[in-house]
Amino acid sequence: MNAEYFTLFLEEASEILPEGARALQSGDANWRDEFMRAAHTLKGMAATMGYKELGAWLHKIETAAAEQPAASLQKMWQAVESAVGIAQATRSPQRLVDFVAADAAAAPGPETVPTPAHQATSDPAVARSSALRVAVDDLDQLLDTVGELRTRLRVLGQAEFGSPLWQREWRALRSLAARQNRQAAMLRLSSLRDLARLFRQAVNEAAEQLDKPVHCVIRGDGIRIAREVVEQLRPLIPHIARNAVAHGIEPVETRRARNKPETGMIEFAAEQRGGNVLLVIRDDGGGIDLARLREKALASGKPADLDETGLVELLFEPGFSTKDTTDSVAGRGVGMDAVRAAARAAGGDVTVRHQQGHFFELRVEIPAPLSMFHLREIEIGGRRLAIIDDGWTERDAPPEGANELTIASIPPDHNGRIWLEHRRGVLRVNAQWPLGAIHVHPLTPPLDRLDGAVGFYLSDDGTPRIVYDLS
Amino acid sequence: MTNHSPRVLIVDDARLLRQMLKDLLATDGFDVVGEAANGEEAVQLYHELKPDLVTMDVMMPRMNGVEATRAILSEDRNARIVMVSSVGQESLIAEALEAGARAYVLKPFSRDDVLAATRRSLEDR
Repeated sequence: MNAEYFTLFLEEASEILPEGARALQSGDANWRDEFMRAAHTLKGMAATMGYKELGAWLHKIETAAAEQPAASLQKMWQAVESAVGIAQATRSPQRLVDFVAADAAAAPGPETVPTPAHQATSDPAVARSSALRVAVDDLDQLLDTVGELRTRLRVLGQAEFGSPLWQREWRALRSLAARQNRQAAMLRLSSLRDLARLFRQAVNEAAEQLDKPVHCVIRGDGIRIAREVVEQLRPLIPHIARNAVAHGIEPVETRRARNKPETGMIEFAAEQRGGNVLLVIRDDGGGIDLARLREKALASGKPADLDETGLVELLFEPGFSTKDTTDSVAGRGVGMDAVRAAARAAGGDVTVRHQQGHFFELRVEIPAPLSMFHLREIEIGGRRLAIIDDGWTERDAPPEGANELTIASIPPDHNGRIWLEHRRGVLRVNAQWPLGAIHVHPLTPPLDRLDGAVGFYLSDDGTPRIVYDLS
Repeated sequence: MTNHSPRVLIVDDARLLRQMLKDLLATDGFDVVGEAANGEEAVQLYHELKPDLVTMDVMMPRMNGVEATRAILSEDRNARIVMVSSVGQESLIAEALEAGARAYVLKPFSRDDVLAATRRSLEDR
């Protein structure tokens, strides 16, 4: 949450808190209403800032305000005053985040103090552990959806059956149920962020040890894949990172002689490509020295007539690579057999691309899990559909000389005012908006024969829309 | 989305929430033309500004969001109003929707929820 909002929260809270306290002491006829409103406003602010426990406590106060005597409300209010005071003194929101454990316990209200449901996030040491934080955030989102579902159900219960309000709520409930499904499915996935962090760390360590200047670039680490695959790749990542620095990037003198920048470049880049997630680990080093590799192959008793592909394949042989890890050629393959095994177990594969003297790429391809795709909804000539969102950018005018893309079964719209740019070309649309990760269902015949269509998804109003893959 | 920036009036008694909504809508191409801190101000500003959209808090001093919604709709029955409200105010939300509000968002709101609700209410005829 941004620092400006935190300051704004403190400022406004210090106006509202005295208003509430004044109402409690005034004994006016409408003191309850005034106090309740103060609690309510503060509750909305706290909840929106993500101070869940404080929000829950203020909700309790608001509810209690209808009947509890002023004295017990005052005690409850003081707990809030003290938390805000501490946050103000320390200029840190920590006390507001940790609210229940610290403050409400010290000032028990008329009811028992609620057990902190999110105690795990209150412990700063635990909150810093990224793996847990991701899981907790996902879970919180799911719980928020459940909360909204319950509220909407209550609204539905008060609406007249079949009335426009009832119909609208019914539609909203259907879309919420779909969202809940998606969020529950997300819990089984894990982003590549942890792996990317581990990778960067290992690259930097190796670069320092070997005294090679290296720049590490991370892209697409927000992409999610099945949690098990992430766990299998985790122990292998440091090896791969180290290999790239040790066996890929040349010593500075060699790079200079080859007319390359002295600082080597190592990339960890993930992207969604059709139904797969492609992770490319690339270094701009010397590639594979095929002559040396052939010598090594012969020495290990491999056939003499191996072609280039056959030679590169040797890097995936565990015995071949681990025989002599100090050898700059064979050492390259350390861990690659295990990476391939993990990818194949998940239904994917690992391949290598390289050019001697220029670059080396390890390409890990893994099927996208559970048919979850990042989608972008678009409108072309009044028709709504979705495309797989793998790197589109919005433009007000077509970039010069761009190749105009079309979707086979949809007539192009020459009046569209938005151009979506992709590495393959531009697509002209009337309107567009990103949808985030969505569960895509397989198409059933005869729709599965639609050119470029990969499935359909249910939009917010329950209408099925076709998903196209233009990559 | 329409091609011109939709003009929006934000109504909430908490400055913090007005600021958050303002930032959120502004980054998505909305033009925030006014802010009101209670129902009376909201009705008056609606009359002066004729915005394309209103985000309306429910519980506010002087005149609450439901009364303000009724007042605005009685002046302009095509007004597009999105209620921004907390859990526990179901009957007020239902009242506002029956009075003609287009959609509602619950606090704490997420960016996606606000944008979905505002978009929907601008599209509905």
